[in-house]
Amino acid sequence: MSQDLFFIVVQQYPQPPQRFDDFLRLLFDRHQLDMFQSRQRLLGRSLARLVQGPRDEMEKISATLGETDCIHWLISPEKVAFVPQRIYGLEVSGKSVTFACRDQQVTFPAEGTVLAVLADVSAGLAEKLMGRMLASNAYRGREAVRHEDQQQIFTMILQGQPVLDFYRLDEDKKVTAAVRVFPGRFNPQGLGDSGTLSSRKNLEVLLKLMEEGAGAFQLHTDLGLAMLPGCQLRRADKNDQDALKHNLNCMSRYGWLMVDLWRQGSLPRESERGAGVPEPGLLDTLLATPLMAAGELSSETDVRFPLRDEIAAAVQNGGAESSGREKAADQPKIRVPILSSPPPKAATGWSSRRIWPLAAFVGGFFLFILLLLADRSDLVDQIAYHSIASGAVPFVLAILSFWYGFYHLRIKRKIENTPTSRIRSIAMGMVEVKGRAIRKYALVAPMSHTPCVYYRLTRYRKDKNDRWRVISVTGSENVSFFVEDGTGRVEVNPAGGRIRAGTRQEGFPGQVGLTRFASDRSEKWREDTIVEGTLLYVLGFASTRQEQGETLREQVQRVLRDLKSDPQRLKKFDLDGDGKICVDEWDTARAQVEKEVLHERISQRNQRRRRQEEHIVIGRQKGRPLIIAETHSETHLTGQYRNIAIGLLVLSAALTGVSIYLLINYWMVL
Amino acid sequence: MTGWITLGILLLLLLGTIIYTIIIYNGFIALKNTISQDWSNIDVLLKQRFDELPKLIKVCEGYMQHEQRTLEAVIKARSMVNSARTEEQQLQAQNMLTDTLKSLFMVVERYPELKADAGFRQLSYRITEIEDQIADRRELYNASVTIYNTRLRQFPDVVVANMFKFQPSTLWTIDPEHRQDVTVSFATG
Repeated sequence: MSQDLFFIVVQQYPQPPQRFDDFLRLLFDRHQLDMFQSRQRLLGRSLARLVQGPRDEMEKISATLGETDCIHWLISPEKVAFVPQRIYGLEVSGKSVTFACRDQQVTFPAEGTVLAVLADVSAGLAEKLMGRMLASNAYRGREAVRHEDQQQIFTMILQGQPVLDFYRLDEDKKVTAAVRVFPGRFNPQGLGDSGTLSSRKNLEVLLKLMEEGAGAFQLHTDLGLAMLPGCQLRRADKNDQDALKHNLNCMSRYGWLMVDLWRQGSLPRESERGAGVPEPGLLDTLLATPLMAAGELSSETDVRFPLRDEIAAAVQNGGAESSGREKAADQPKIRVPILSSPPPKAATGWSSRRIWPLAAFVGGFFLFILLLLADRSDLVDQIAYHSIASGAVPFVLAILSFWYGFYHLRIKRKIENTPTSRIRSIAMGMVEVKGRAIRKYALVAPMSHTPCVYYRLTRYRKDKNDRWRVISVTGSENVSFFVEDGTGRVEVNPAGGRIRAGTRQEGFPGQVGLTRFASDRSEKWREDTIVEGTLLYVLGFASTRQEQGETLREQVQRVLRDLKSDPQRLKKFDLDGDGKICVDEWDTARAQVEKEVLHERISQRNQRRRRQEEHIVIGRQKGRPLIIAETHSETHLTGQYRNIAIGLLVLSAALTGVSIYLLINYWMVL
Repeated sequence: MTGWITLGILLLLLLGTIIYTIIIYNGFIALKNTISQDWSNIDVLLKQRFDELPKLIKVCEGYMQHEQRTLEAVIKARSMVNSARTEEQQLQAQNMLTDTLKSLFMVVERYPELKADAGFRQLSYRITEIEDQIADRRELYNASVTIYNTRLRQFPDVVVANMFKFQPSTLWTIDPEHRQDVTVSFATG
């Protein structure tokens, strides 16, 4: 690594802070940093290299980051001068620890400076965390994604293939020695009474011993999560020696980088870094010295993004009491909206759309049975023959395709004739909105387990002729969701709508992913989903949702009940002082309670301005279409409707020609 | 036989043309109604703004002892909205009210105590929110008018439009004065 090359390492943001896009634009405008790449590197839960280059350029970028209070370091990383030596035993004397390595003994003196790196060298940590995060996103919602805290990460590492490195540092934070501990591969007798039969427990004990004995101590557990150069692990099984060797080299590189960062003077202890916001120790340092690396800007710098205040407020409110793993449990819980389970399907009522096809089917079925019972199966054949030969069947089909053709044409024109509303100013009536689909409930597609706002699952089974037959169709028409367009969000109730989902997946029962195939291929499923976050087009009827909760009458009754059970308050209405409430007094009390409740409701309504999604819902109204389509443009959607309409009208013309031809032939035969 | 088939298909085409004409005609009627509805929806918000103003003025009065002229201008513009009879008067009065409100919010900068008042903050936020919604709905109205006017000139809609004498609608346009650059003066008075 050339000494001329400098890195800017950033502490990633778990969630995009306010005005994050402005921040990215600023980096692009001033330093031509790609916005997409910067976003990728600035968001996460660990450290990342933002950019690398010559010192003068990096200092300019560092100054910009300093203006925005982005936690970062400007370093010229040292080469890995030596890798940690494997230990075979240890001896504890007072607070100093001496490790026995192959050729020499390495002593870590009491009150020294120690940096420790604990890592899962099988590289399974990132995979596990990603799995947990995806599950958390699916079942709790993206706003309530739960990040694992340091204690949980610590436990997960110990459950994998842990390795522990200790770096002994001098006063200038230079590495003077380093050792590597493989659990179960050293003699734990040196741990004395604290030693156990569990190799992983011994690792924990050793870690604690070193922490207690050191004057200054840092533990880092982010290897595999940090996006740092030379620290990208390879997934390794226990027998994959090449991958393990690579990962151990990465661990050495990571350790040296952490020393470089610590040398800059302000590296937060990972045990002090929360999963969410930076912790107070770090923040105090930050607020006192906003720029850590370049060090040129003073704390009096006026140019500030709101991030600093935001972090300070978050710390004051949320994390002021925590300082380390031990106190993690004491942290006050921050309330985040967690998605609730989808509502159960309501019993389907009879609608005119369903009753006519059903009536036609039932009528036809009974007619068929009657003819069979009358032993007139020849009549059935004759009816079938004459209805086709006379052109009646093609004619009916022609009428149907004609009607459906114009139906699609009407829908196309309806879409074209409706202007797009902004959600914040949506009015009651037919509206068209475009925006991103956001889940209201924790809806997950049943087969692909994708967080979605809508799914339709069709199951097929092979019949005797080896053809697929639909055996069931289920969907989430009863689960409403939100559409968000940047100005606001509005609820959409998809019940009874024409829904065009953009994602389709097929598979067989028992299939997992794309590689593990199912043995039973007599059944299959097809899943159409509208994945959360996709762009949606919605045309429907906007109306106010019925007020939920207590009605005025119910509230009055409740207050009156409370009044009855409170003799002290009742005394106020005992006007004649006889200790009893007569009818007239009770009427007075009732009138006053009604008045009070009414005033209370009016003042509550004035105080609490409801958000759009709380009182407006777009749904289907009788005689008006509800169209929900995953599409990239309205023109594309209307084009699809136009093509269907043209196809159906051409089909209708052809069927008419066929039916006339058959009719004339039929007449001639007669 | 071919003649009969041709006749049948021609009849179908004729039926199709009639139905398509009906669809176009109904589309025009629906669009005209949408335009009227969009216009009325703007009025709904203007009324909301009108109703919120007395509260705002009441809050401001306590702090802005030296800005009686500005406050009086707002009150006068509000009463003009109330007394406007024709559509043109109404439009003028609403524009005047918008202008006076802008002046009021500019003057407020000189009164930090007023700016810090929770009631004022809530009301000014509410009025700004309504102003944004009014702007959105005006855009929506213009979008509806544009769709309607485009349809009037497109084939085959133009045939039906001429047959039933549908007339183009007018877009909402701002007062030409508002197209000029804003001059900001920091003089007190």
